[in-house]
Amino acid sequence: MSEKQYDAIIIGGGHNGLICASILSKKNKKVLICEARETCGGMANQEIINYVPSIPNSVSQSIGGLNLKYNSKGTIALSESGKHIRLIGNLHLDHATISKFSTQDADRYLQFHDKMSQFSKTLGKFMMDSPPRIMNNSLSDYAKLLKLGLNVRMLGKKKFNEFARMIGLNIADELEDNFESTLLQGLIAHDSVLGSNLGPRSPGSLINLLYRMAIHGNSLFGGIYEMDGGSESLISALIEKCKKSNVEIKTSAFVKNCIVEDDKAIGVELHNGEKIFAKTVISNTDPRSTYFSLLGAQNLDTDVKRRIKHHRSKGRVAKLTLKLNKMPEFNDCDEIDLNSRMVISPSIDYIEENFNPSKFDKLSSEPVLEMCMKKDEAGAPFLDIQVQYAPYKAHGGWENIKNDYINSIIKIISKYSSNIESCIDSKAFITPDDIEQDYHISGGHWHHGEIQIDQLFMLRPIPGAAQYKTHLDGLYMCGAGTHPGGGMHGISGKNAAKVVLGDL
Amino acid sequence: MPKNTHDIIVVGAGHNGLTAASYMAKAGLDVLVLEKNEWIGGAAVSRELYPGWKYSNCSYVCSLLRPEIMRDLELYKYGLQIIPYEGSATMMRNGDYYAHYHDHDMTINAIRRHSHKDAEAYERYSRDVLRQCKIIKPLLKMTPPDLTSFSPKNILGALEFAKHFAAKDELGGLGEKEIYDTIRFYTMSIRDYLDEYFESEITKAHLAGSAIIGTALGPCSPGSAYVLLHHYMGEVDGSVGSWGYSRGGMGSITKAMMGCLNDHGGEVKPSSEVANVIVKNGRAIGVATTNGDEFYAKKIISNLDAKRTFLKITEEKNLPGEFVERIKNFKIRGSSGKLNIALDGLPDFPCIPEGDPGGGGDMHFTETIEEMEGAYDDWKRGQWSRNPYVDMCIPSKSDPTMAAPGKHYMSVFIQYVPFNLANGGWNEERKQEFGRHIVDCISEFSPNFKDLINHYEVRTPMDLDSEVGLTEGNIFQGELTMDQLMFNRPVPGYAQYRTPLKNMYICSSSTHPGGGVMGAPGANAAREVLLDMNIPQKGNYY
Repeated sequence: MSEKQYDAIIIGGGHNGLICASILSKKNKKVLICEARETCGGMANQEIINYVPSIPNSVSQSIGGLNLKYNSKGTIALSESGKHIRLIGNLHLDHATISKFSTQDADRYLQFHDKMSQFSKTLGKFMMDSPPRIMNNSLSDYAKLLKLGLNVRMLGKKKFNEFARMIGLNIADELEDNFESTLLQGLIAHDSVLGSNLGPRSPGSLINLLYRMAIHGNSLFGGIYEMDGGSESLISALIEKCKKSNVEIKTSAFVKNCIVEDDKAIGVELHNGEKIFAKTVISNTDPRSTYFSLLGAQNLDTDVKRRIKHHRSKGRVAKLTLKLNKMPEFNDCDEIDLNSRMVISPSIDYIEENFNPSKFDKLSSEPVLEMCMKKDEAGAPFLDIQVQYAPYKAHGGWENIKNDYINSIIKIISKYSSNIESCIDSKAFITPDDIEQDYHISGGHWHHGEIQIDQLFMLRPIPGAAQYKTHLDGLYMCGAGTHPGGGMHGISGKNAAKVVLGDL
Repeated sequence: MPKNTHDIIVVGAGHNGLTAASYMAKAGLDVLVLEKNEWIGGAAVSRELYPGWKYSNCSYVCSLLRPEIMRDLELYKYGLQIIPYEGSATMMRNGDYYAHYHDHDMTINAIRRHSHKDAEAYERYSRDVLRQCKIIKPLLKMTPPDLTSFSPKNILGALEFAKHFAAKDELGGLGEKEIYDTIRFYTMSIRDYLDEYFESEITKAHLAGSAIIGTALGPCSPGSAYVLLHHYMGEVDGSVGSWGYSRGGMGSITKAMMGCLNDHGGEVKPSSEVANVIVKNGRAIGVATTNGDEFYAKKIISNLDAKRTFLKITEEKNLPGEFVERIKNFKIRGSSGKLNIALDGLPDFPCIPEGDPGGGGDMHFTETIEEMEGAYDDWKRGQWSRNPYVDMCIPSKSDPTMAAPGKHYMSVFIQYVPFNLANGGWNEERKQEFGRHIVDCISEFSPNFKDLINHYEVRTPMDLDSEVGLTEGNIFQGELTMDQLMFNRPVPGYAQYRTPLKNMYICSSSTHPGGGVMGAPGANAAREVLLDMNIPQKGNYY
């Protein structure tokens, strides 16, 4: 039994938790991080993600600056015909590339990108701060709402109207209105639905794309980075910052539940029975785990219980890692292409056909893929593949259908690579169910909860708990399940720290 | 002074055009309505397409017609009579059925047969949806504010709009939660919304139907929950959310409107298709018909959908380029079909017990959300649904004027049917194949159905387009998604019934609040015209 009392215990050592801890400790608060796994970092590791955005300045400044090396990654949309589209995020060069396919598309691309990046910048302004509450009778909330409204209005009448139109629009309509190249449409549509439970024709898919752009430097194909040492190097840098300001980190410490006394969170109990006390408890896990596991249904009123129960967070992305005995050949691709983000998503209809079965937790036979070639410490190549629309708790059970599914993925890849099958040494497959189990995130969802309008901003994760405080005094949330959402930017951690400091 | 000069010309004698015309005639203006078909009513018509049977061959039930409009135009005086539905039912393949009734308690008992939990949840569901209906009702008759304008009129309009959303909760306090719930309701899919209340598939499937009728959305599409509202916010006999038959078919509604219009000096000219709007010095001054006649007026009001209005009868050079681009991108995809059937008797539907009021209203046979979504997926591929969602009813059971004694008229509305049929498009042969497919589907639930069929008319979105003038056969004249609703309808910046062309207005379902036989777009547009002409407005609606 630990008599020492901390100012804050953070449950979960993912990047948001580390950033939150760092900010609190810089203000001389005594912080303890309890991480269930053997290492911190959560889903920010090679096993799960392919690439990262760069941490926004406001976040890195709040923890005293980060010295990280980012390597830009280009994108290549593969075509069975060999006529691939290669985009790198430089508008001038990308325009030239697209011109080879269609001069009209190339010009439209510039207009489209200009419009979208203006909107993602506007959206970005909504993302940086804690969302205001409506009707809370607080002057600062009203001021915030007004400021946000003005930001949008300042886009000018035309752009404002366009913005209002686009909020509920689906990306397929917008792409079909603008472009003729089905491959280009397929690529942009892919990026719009990545990680989500939406299809390209689903209303709201456009917002998803804007969100992604806002994280990636307001660019469609720029702002995509690989780090030397992978995203683990970001985590190491964050852990160092924490250690420097005396944050304590306990690993292999699974928190069973939050200790509640007199309607207030006063500490946590670990799986081994150890009880640790603190003035505040901050959960970096997903909202459902926070409310149902840490708090427990008995501590929730009916309304909150119902809302959290229906919080949508079913993971839709699986990861297939192919360890290779040599570099595979991809048709009509050179070495630079193999270093790019390779996307197999030939058209909007292809994606939509794959999306259809996932609505009912079924698998499609021709999945949508995003691949990155990597090298391990020994220099051996491996292919990391994100498989979109691989459902959480797939119909029939993953154990029974996994192998067929993996084979169908490899079959798709072999349409684009003549020798992939002969290069494969071994395969590792992680489903959303596996992610849930290994990382303790409900549904195995990347963003700890769907990025859809009714689960964003003032409604994220649920109404009344969108300002990093749960309904229980002393219990806060700082993970991706809060505003603005997931994506390795650390904004949630930074904002949550600010709120906690205000209360301490 | 040219002959054929009036105060107002309305293009298209659909129900919105007739509503707008009637209001303006009542205000003392000289109104002429030009209609391309020999018959009037647009999609609200009853036609004896087969001797002895009257078909409501497009729209078939009434609910959304605004009670204020019915009172202002004294439609009851001109023969309108609405008979409420008794109930609705979904038939199940295992021989069972699921029903709702006009009587709330009967409905709860009926649900309880399938699930106790759902019966309890239904109370909460009704209350929540009713609250949303109450919030939106006043908004239907408002002109959407222009959010980019800083003019006092628009700022006040915006505040007025916002005020209605700031619902007070039961305790009279400020309803923060209610606002959030409203936002969620407007952005969620009907499937997710229903999942928050109900556990059994049949309950969800029965309720979800109202969220997909006439749309290019499936039950899993975000935004479909709003469409539910669109179908629930009507009323019959003061009971919100109920539906009914118009005695004599839907044509009685437009006939009654024409009665009111004629009584106040207005005129409708059938067989007069408008070819183009005549423009002089940047102003609309009249129209020319396809047979060469010209008519002039101070104001031209189009009751055609946004695409026909701005891309067909108005020359592109008279409109701003960007506006035209936006109209071209206005989503107006047809997804519905219809069968109108003349029956020699009443078909047996063994699933529904004899005398059960569930058989007196709308009938369906889609049992699960997955089936409904599958129907939508087929449409996305350019096919008619293999397992369609149908909304069937037999109006002649409650309305003897539709068929001879003992005979019956059955209306079958079908989701989903594509406008552009894959692999070559529609032709007569494929149309009949589609008709037979629907008849087959219905026969699975009624053994004597086929034997009773005397005649049937098959209507695809193509027919709605060519005959009625609904672009691509979309029954709402434009999709009901957030990007095309309220201040975005038909396009942002032009949601106040005025067009970029001076003296030209639009009053059709392509404007706020959208489609369905409501009359609200027509009445709202009339108000704006009267305002612009400085004519005082009278009546319940205003």
